[in-house]
Amino acid sequence: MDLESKERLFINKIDIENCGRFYGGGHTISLSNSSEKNITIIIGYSGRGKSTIHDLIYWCLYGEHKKHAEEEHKGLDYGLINTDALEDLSKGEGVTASVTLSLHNDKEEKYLLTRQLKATYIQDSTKREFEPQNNSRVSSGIGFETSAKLIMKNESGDKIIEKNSKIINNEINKQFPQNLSDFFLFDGENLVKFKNQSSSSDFIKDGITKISGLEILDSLMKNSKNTAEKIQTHIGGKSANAAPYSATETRLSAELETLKKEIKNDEIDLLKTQALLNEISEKIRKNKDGSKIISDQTKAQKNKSNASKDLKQNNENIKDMLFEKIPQLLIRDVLQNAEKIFERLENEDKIPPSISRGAIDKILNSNPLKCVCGREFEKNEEEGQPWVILNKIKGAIIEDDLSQGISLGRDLISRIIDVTSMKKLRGDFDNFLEIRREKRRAIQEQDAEIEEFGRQLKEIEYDEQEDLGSLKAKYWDDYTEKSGLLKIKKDELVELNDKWNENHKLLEDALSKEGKYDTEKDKISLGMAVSKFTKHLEKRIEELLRSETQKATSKYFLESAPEKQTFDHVDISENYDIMVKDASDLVASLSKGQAHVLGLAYVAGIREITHTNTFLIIDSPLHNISGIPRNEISEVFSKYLPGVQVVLLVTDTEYLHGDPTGAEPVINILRKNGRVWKEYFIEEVKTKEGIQSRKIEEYNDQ
Amino acid sequence: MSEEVTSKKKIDLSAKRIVAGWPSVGYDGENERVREFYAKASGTVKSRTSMFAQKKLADIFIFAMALGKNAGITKDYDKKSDRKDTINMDYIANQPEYLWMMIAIAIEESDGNLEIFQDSRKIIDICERYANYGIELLMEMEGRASTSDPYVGYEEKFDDLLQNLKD
Repeated sequence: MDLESKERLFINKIDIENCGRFYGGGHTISLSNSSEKNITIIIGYSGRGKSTIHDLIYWCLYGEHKKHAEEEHKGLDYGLINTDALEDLSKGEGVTASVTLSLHNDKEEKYLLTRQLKATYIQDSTKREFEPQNNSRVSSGIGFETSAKLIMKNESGDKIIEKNSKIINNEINKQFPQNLSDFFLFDGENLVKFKNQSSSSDFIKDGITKISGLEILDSLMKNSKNTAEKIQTHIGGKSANAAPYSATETRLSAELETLKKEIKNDEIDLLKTQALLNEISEKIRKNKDGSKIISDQTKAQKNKSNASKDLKQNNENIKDMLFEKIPQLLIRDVLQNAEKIFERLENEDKIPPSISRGAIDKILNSNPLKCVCGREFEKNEEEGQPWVILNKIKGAIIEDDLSQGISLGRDLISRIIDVTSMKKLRGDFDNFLEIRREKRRAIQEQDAEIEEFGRQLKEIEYDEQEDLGSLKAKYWDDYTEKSGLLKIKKDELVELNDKWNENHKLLEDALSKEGKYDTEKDKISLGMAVSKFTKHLEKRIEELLRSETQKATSKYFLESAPEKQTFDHVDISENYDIMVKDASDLVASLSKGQAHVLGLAYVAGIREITHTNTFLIIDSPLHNISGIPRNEISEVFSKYLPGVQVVLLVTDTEYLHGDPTGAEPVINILRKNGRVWKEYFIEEVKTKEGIQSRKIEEYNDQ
Repeated sequence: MSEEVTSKKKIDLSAKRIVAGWPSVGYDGENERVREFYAKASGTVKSRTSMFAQKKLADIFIFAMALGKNAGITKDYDKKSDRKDTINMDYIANQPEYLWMMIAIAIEESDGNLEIFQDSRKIIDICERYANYGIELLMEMEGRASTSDPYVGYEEKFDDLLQNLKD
């Protein structure tokens, strides 16, 4: 992580030629450099090329496609180079697609970066195959070649032209680290994930992993461990003593792999069920009665969850008490006998009395001395006075090992006897049992309420003519069953891991007794040491970053969230679940708008801790958001990202229109706040040759 | 206080040094059930509700020793080689209460003979023999646990002790 403060860089201009749906050249967009009017809007109907612009900026910066999964694209005929331009080629002809970014600092143009992909029709071919450079399926008779050019200043301030891709990528990565690109080229679809803590956890984990360089550590750790274990299994197979453990390890490893895959699939399945459940709940909320019942049901579920947590904590308290006190109670009479034996030994002068010089010092430090009978003695150092007598006793005490040891032991034994007072323990234990009964009762009551609300939901007549109540009950049962099964599998995984570890220890023991294979054993020790050290390091970095991300996200969220006063802080758990909590540390449920803002706060938080001081281009920032929440998010854009060059790629519906629920068009809100510099509209046009293309023009609503 | 005792017999009872030089504590490692039960405390058990999840071998040993002593029954190893000495005394000294519970049992058995402190092996032998029997009782208690009621056996024992002991 780069903690140095970075020079502010922004995109001044984008030029696109023959890319995607943009045929030919002249597709230019200038972006705002104003710190007051810092927002540039690019509006386009769905499918007009907004996401293409977003992805082309990424391609120009790094020479890679942002979405480049072969599986996803192998059936597509639309790629980087405009399809019409590509299809029009005759043998021997070529076409070049290019993107140029003019990147400025606060004084001047710092970089002029051009990335090109040239296609040449080499030979006729009927075969079409996936071409990774173009990111689509193309005729195999076409050849592709990429090139890049970076104009910048050298150390003497002279302009130089760099064409070496490696040097260009290195220079660009210094300014715009690719692993942080999610936080300046952001896909708004990710914001939807923040409605649900578990669906956002992968995104957050991925983010923290990327910014920390943990991927490298993780791979080093796994590789070292795997190599060591493979050597162990290998030489284990050759050693007569270790062979059975080696075979068991191979079998258990395979079982572990299978179970992990099953758990991963089940988790995805559970998330889908949860999404269906949420969808049904949203529909029910549109009905007035339904909305109230759902809210009451959610409250009952929350109460149940709180009672369950209390019950768990109480069980822990009971466990601690039983664990500590049972052994002490079991031998309480023995301890009492030992106390008497020590007393007898003291009377027989075989051990010292249970008194120390320190204890006498404590008495002497109080002036006047107070006797148990109530008399007080002022300090007086005459012969025969208490001060003098006590000092004499102190001098006579020999604090050797014996007296210290016996004093400590007798003290401990009498303390154990004291704290195992039957009356007190009975009272504490009965109290714990009462709490347990009370919490179990509360859970049962809440269960009954939840069921009753479920029944009421089924009785409502919904506009959609669907029996939403029954559907919700069905999905809820489905969800409960699946999460129960998943828990069982996770427990199985823990058990299987235990078995693996236990067997692995036996394998290690058997190998350590083996007289041969010294070189391999050294390699194993080294591999394990590297893995252990890396794991420790990884954990520390991860904890630090998680805590920093949490703090920064919390700060932005509490500044900008709608109804922010109801929240207290944001938590990111060890599993990367992100939760907003109230002052009682209870997880608050978020509206769609608040969840979106949480996502934006996370992006802003990561930008802050990584000192990312550059543009923020968001594709579909209002994805899947309508009504009032859309307006709330617009306020966030206009108020809480001051000075950041913001580019929002929006659809006409989400930007230009209000909706029947009374939401104002976003354009009005942003313009009212005076933060919009320019609005562009992506038009669909036909060229003179009759080819369909796009034209980017300033938006005029007059 | 007799200086004679300390100077002639050279008994070292300093709290810090008390276990220095003591041998490790052992258990019946040849008995598969006992071995597996002790292995539960290897630190790998994380999510279970078991009383001994994430605890140490020393915790199990002391629990078993107390149960055996309370029952007043000892059990010897079938043969010497059955004994697996793996519980380092440092783990016991980390909790001085454990150490003094062991010493209390040994001093009671020897009726206050201070010479027992010179023979740590003997203290450990006495405690191990009680633990060898007590572990059977402990496994029985643990075996009664269920997911919904993980400490049932322990609760009954605790209740029983509270009813039958007097302050």
